[in-house]
Formats: sequence, structure tokens, C-alpha cells
Amino acid sequence: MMRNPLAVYKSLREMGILGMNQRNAEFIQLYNPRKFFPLVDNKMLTKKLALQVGIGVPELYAVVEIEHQISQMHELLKQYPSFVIKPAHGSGGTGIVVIKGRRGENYLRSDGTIMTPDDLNFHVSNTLSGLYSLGGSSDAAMIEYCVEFDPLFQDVSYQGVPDIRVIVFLGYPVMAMVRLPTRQSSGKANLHQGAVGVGIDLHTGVTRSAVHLNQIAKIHPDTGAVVDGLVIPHWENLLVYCARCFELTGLGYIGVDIVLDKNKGPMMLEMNARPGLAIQIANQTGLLPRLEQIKRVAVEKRTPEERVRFTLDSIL
Amino acid sequence: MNYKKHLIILSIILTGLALWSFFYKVTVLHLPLSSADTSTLWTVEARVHFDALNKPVKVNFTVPPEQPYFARLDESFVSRKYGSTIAKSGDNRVSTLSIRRASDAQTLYYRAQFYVDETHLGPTLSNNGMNNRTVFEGAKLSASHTLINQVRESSADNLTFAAGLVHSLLNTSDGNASILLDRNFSTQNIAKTAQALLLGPTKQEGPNITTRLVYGFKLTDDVETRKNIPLDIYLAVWDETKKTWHYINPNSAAIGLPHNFLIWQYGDEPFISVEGGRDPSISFSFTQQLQPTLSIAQEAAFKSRSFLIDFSLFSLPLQTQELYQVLIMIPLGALVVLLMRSFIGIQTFGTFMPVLIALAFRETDLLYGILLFTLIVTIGLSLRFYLEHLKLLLIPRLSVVLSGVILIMMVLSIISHRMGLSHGISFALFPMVIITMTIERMSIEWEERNPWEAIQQAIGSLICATLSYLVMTNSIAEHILFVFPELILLVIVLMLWLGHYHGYRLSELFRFKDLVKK
Repeated sequence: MMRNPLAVYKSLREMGILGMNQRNAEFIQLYNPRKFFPLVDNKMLTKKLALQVGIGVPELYAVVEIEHQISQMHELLKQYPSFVIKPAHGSGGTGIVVIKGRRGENYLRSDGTIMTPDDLNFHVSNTLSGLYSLGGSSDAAMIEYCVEFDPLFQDVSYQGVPDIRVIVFLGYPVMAMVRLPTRQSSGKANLHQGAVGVGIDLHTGVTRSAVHLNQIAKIHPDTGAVVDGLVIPHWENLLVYCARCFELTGLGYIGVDIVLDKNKGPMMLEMNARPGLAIQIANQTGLLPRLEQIKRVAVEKRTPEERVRFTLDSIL
Repeated sequence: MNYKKHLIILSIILTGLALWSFFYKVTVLHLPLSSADTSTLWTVEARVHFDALNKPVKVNFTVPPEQPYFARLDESFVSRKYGSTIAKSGDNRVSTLSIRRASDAQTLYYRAQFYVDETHLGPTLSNNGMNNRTVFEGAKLSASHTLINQVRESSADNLTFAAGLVHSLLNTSDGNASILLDRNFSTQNIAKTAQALLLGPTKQEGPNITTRLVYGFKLTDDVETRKNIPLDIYLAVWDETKKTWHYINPNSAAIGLPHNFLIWQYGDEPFISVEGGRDPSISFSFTQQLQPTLSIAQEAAFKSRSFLIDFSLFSLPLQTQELYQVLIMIPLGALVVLLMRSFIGIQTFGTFMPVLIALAFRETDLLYGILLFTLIVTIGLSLRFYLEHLKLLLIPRLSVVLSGVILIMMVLSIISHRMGLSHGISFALFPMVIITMTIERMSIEWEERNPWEAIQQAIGSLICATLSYLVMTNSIAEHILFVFPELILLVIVLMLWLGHYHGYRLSELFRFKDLVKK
């Protein structure tokens, strides 16, 4: 089924599909000043800033910065039935451990496996020594609120936390998708590991057709539930959070990851200064026409709310 | 756009600089484009012998002058305590060796190395010819008239006239020639008689053709040393219109010097003179050797004091040169990685790790290197997974894996040596730390994402490394970049332009191809 690569190339151009080279050169390099990268790379900093501008984030329970604190960690965690441990400088979702409950002394992970206190200590210790951080520099481990995800996604995800990825360009949300973990992706919300990507209609916040491993899908491969036509609650509110991230970071081209908490509504998990391109597959749409549209309108100064209004009304 | 202008100007400057330097080295310094080029180098020797009279000694003898076609690489005297100078004397070069006091037999040597350089022009020669007119009398007078008139009939210019005259003199059955030569048909006599006839007895009478004798010998392609070579005599005829000398062989009347003829002396002066000594003699010999053109050109360029050579890699110590022979290839390896990543979209561990692996392959050969790399990474990865159980901290674990990698390499070396595989011993450059990091990153990739992705990246790295290796060990490229490192500037220009490729990668055509179907 090998078609003429040149024809494919041309069609992709016509569809306005953004490629890796173009993303790096014309968007990340141009709109994401390197000096602002630490704001998104350091998740503790991100969290602090987000709270200042009124973006909801999971509550931070504790931070482990030195080996010595690891032993005291368990005592402190006793009050929380569930929590998430993640590296402050993690990349690509590595090093995240989700604890859902206890089995005696031991911890129960979201995937059903058991972690002894020793296992957990080892994991945190690895995190501190920079195993999961960009460039391997020493790191801190954040322990935070474990999101209880909205029942909306109950039927369409397998373990893990489904999240909503929104590409924000110059403060305008330009494309969004829901990432649903599958058995194959072992609970991770990463498309090329087998998670399902569901495109979202930006105007309405309703999910559309989905993509699983590059194939168009209507149902979740593990649960069999229909994935399109889901209405995402607090849609406008969610987009406003995303839009605010522009002022928050000063980065022009970012991916914002949002989770929907049952009780607390949308929460911003993290931002990515080099968001992936798979979102185009999930939406069956190229990013470029929208990015060009935003380039034209971005000359006017607008508040996050006005920008979201523009997206809801007029995005291509 | 502003950066486009920068890019264009920068490209022009860099390309210009690179090409200028490249062409200068090729056309002026004659650095060879191929390492396989060899040139002939002749070592010419003059052996001077005399008996010293226990007085201050001063020996003068001619050494080969600057001349077209032959370029001199080096010259020296083997003369113990003699002081030596070389001075120009007319068109010749005369060396003077002197010593305060010497006695008994003295033997001195002059040695010079020549190689053929077709573009070497030599100095402008003076038109000083022989000016001792000879007045012939009696039978010789009429013989000279007859001969000259005969030859004049059948000649177009001075050169053909001179050649015709020599031809006539060579004709032993010609009575006139015999009379003029006193039946002495030696080359020397023929040449000198021809000179006398060409100048004429008086200025009024003519023919007033300026001539002189030229001494030298033909450098041949003999492997063995040629000793005691007699000097050949050629008759040089001045061409007033072209301001050059033409040469006639007095043995055959043929025009032109033979191929590879090294001129030792212009004119008829004695080759050697001695003050404070007696019975001077000089004899000549030469040997031929084949040398890589590069080393000859290099030495010649050093002599020319060209700053391009003074500041070239050749000016470094040999060991450092060897290092740079490898390092200078790294930009090409980087170019390969750039192409593979930006255009093909192959994923690798680390940006330039493939280049480092490729460097390591230099030590081991390609196939063996790939095998070794796979083996070490596989064993290392198992070790790493085992260490997981011991719950070590990151740095200690890395240290253990690194030490393990070295032990694995050691064992592999010993095994392969036992099996008679000679490659196994020599992978000192194999970047152990890099491999350790690779193992660590691969194991994280393995656990956190999935094994397939880790393997994909490992294979991608190996493919990139293999291609880099093939490019970096190409012997033509190696030679050219080492001799002309300025060409790296062209590679940089290429990279600058490739860096502005914003189109899709080949892998993306596959990744997004289902989007097209709609």
C-alpha cells in the first residue's frame, strides 16, 4: 500500500499538516524563548505560577528534595488515601507513580500492582538523582493530589488518567484532543504507545472520531464504549485556563494538559513547550491553517477570555 | 527576511574562502587530490675531489641553476667543516666552499632533490653567449664559406640555420666539415666549431648568431644509482624575437632538450676551480625514488613559506596530525546524522551518539563493531535490569554498569583473541561511558515507554552509526579533508542550508499517510 511519497507530501502540504521540522523551526524556535522553558520544565514552578493566575492545579502535598527526607515521607503520606509522585523535571510522562490505596504497609498502584515502602523509596531516590529529568540533572519529587477523574471518561479509559491536550498558540487554543489510556498503552496517555486520541470540536467541546494506532476508531479498544459525541464539561472554562497559560509562561506555542476532576473541575497538570504532532491525527486536521489564522489576528491585544471567545466562534 | 540575507552572505563568504584556499593549494602548491598519487624524486649528487695543500682552501663549483620543468626540493653539502655559500653568477649558480686550512685528499658532496613540476617556469635567462670570434684562414676559410652558404640556402631562421650547420658538421663524409673540425668529430669540438661559425669571424661578416653551450644530464627512471655520469653538451641558440634559448643536440642536430634533462651549467666556464688545492675533479650521480606526491608537495609548500601551509595540519606533530585525520571527518558524520534525523526521521539515542559509535567502529571494523555493540548493550542491559532488584541509587548503579561494561569488553577481547579473531583486542576507543549511558537510557525507555521503542532507537542509532562510519572512513574523503580542511566550510554551508528545510521527514509521510486517505 505504498503510495508515491511525493503525492503524499503534496497532500499533506495541502491539508496544512505541521511537520516536525517546521514545528521546531517556525513555531518553537520563533515563539518559545528558551529562557522561559524552565517555567514549564519545572513542574513545581508551573504549579506555583498557575495558582497565582487562577488556574486550577492538583494540590501539592509534599516535595522531597533530598535523600534524607525520603524516610519521613511515609509518615506524611499517611493522611492521604491516594496520591501521585512525579519528578519536578520529568519529561514525556516518565517517572510518574500513581498510588490508589494501601494494602497494609504497602501501596497499591493504579495498575493494580503492589509497591513496598522500599520500592517507593527506591523510586523517589531515582527521581532525586535525576533518572527521569531532562539532561539527568538532580531533581525533586513532587507528591500531589491524585485526580479522581470525571465519570464522563469512566467507560472510555483503561486504568490511568485520561487527559485533554490543548495546543495553545499565542494564547489562542487552536486544537484539542482527549487522550484515553488503553491496556496496550499500560495506562499511559501517549498516542504512539497505544492510547486512543479523540479529536475535540473546539467550538462545542464535543468529542469526534478517534484514532487508535493510526486507525480511525469509534469505540475504545478495551471497554468497547463509544468515544465520539462526549460533551466535555466546563469547556469554555477549560479553554480559558489554557489561554491563560500564555501569559503565565510567555511561551507562544505550547501544549497544555488538562484533567477533569470529578469534584474540582478542570485542572492543569502540566505544560509542554514541545507539544507533539499526533493531535493532528486525532483531529484528522492540519494545524497550519489555524496557526496562520491566529498569526493574523494575534496582532490585537486580547484578554484570555476574549481569545477563547474567538476560538469558540471563529476558529477554522 | 533578515536571516536569509545573512545566510546567503555567509554562504558566499564561506564558499569563497573554501574554494579559494582549495584551488590555491591545488594549482599553486600542487597538493594532490588523491593520496595514491606518487611522483618521482631524484637525488642528484656532485662529488668534488682534490688534494689540499695545507693552506686556506676555497673551492668553487657550479650547482644546477633554477630551471624550468624541474623544481628543487632541497639541497645540501656534505662537507665536514667547510663553510658553504651559493651565489648566482650570470644564469648559473656557483657554490663556494671554504676552510681555513686543509691538507691531503678532500672529498666534498653536493646533494639536491628535484621533482618534475610542469608548471615551474624557471628564471628569465640572459642572452649572454660566447663572444670569442674565431678567424678561419686558408682551407678552413673557404670551407666555412661553402658550408655556411649551403646551410643558409636551406634554412628559414637562426635556429634552423644552426641546426642545419650542426647537421652538416656531423656529416663525416663532407670534406668541408672534416677540414673545419680538423677531423676531430667529438661532440665538444662539433659544438664549439658550430659556435664559432654561427658567430662569424667579424661583426660585419656575420652571421652574428649568439650561442652558448649547456651542460647537464638526463634523469632517467633507473632504480639503481647512476654513478659517474658524463655531462652532455647542448648547443643553445638565442632567439632574439622570443628572447629565449633554443637547444640543439650536437650529436644529432635534433632541436630541443631531451625529456627530464637537468641543466647543470650554462656556458663554457670550468665546472670547478680550487684555490689552495690541486687536481680538482667533479663527478655526478643521481638516484631516483618514488614518493607520495603529497609529501613532496608538502615539503615544497613548506619551502614556499605559504601561510596556508604554515597554518595547515601538516605543521603539527605527526601524532597530532593522526588525531586530526580522524577528527576532521566528524563533521561529515554529523552531516549524515543531520540528514538521517531531519530528512529521514530516524530516531537515535542522543543527538550525536551515532557519530561516537561510528568513531568506535573505526577501531573494530564495521561488522565486528555492530556485533560487539549489540552484544555489549544486550549484556549491559541485562545487568542493568538485574541491578534494578538491588535498589541502588542512580550514580552507583551507573558506576556498576560502567565497570560491568568494561569487564564485558575485556572478556570479549580475550575470547575473540583465543578464537583467533584479531579485531577483538583493539577497541580501546570504544566509548564505554557512552555505551553505559546508552544502556541506562535504553532501560528507561524500555520500562517507561515500551521495549519496541527502545529497540527502534537502538537500531536507528546503529543505522546512523553505520552510515556515518562508511562516510567517515571513505579514504578519498579522508585524504581530501585532511589536505584541504577548508572544505569543511563547504560542509558547514551545506548544513546551514539543510537547517532551513522545514518540510516533512520521510517518516512523517508514513505517520500521516492515513490522513491523506480521506
